[in-house]
Amino acid sequence: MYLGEKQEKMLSGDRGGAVKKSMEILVGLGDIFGAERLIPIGSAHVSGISMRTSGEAGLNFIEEMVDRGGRVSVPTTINPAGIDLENWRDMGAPKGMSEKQIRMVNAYKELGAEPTCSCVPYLTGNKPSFGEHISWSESSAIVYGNSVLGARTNREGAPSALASAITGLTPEYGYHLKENRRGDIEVIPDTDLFGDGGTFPFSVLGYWIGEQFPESVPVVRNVNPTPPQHKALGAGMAASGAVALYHIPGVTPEVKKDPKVGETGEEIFFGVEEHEQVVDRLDQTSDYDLICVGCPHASVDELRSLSKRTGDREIWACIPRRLRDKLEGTEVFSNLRKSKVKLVCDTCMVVAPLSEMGYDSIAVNSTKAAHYAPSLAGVKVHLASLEEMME
Amino acid sequence: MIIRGEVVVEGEAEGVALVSEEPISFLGGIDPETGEVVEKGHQLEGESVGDKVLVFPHGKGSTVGSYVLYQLARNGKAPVAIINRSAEPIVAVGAIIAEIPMLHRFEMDPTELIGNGEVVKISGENVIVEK
Repeated sequence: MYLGEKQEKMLSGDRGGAVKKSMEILVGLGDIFGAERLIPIGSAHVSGISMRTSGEAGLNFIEEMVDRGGRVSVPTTINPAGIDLENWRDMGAPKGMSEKQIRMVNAYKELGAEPTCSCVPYLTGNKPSFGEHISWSESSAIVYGNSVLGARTNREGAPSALASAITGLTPEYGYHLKENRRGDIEVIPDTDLFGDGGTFPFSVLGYWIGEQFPESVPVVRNVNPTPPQHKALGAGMAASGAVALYHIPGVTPEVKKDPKVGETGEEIFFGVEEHEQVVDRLDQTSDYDLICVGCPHASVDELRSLSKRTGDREIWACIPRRLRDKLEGTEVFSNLRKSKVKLVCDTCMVVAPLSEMGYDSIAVNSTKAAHYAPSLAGVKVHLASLEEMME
Repeated sequence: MIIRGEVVVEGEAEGVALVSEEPISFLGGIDPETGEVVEKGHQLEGESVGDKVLVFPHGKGSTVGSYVLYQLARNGKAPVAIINRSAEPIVAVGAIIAEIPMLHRFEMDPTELIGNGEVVKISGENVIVEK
């Protein structure tokens, strides 16, 4: 790989230990994937924040990066933590883990990252423009950034996204190159499935696509999703498969600009039967202690539909703290309070220690949550649409 | 026998080979405190990767697995070297941050050429196997 003079110096340690280690990661990856050079990025988004996923190992690595003088050089946001950083005591999160979690977020603050603690960076001020190169981890955000915003990122892991945040660089290969961004399979869904305007059928469709074509760039026909529906579609694909990008002809920006990107020649149908197969496989129980929405983190539009709910089952809406702060004092906020919807910030049902907090089972309307919550949060899952859960 | 690969992390090392034909998930698959393979039903379940030359096709699972390699190194339980058929980011980044010598892309499959328990020496792009 070719490195400029300044980059050679960064690699040899002239700008400190954290930059050197970061350059070693990026050059190592670039060599493996045949990148010719490192290119500048506009922003970074780093996953692996929750102590539930990164553990002591992640905490020690991040604190060592701080000790080595690490500092981000581009706008950087971070993924959800394992606890609501302000209300963890009231919510019954374990003390030892919570204290370490706070140390982890503080270490990221010292590195100069914005402590957004959310998986939807594009809703918390980190919104890249069309064609911009970025280095993001968090699989659902990667798909949204590539597909809906037309930015360019590979499926980075937590350490490589952090290395890019510190250096402002990423190796140029994979989805940074136009030739790798063309669709290669066309999915024709039965449009009757999407009648009610909710996110659920999109989440199921995404999960099915990721399972069937885990390494693909799918082209989805005949749909025009709302932003929350896009979010659900991409999160599903990236949970069951390694999908980083999809196109919707006439809708997503890259294929709008160049319709050839969406021509693949191979078509496959998604109907009621496929939909039911996915739900049957992920749905483990009809009994549940808690309803959780917001995987990925919910937006204002999704909160509006919750604010009208009746019934008194415990319900969490997992959202970015910045969204909560913005909503405080509005009508939506007071309606949510009246409807007894608990706004849970900084964390979510996948990365919080739910089993240790006394929950056995949860109901979710997200295939991604249904995929990960049993192993990560230690709970059983009921998977259904929001409407069905509210009945 | 000498086989030649491509260097991911440069370094010299020598140790006893621990060979897996199955991919390894470091997050959840290996205990970062003890170095023991804990993945249920894995070919290496119960073995320790500490001080071994760990030979396997490639990594799998969460990208956070890179941190597990780093933690193993801090606890003195890391492999002395890693030999992969073809590296992917989880193990490659883990080896880089943990400073574990690592090679991949050999002319032939290293998981077939190297036998469990054989003494293996890594020098530059060469792997010397004592048969």
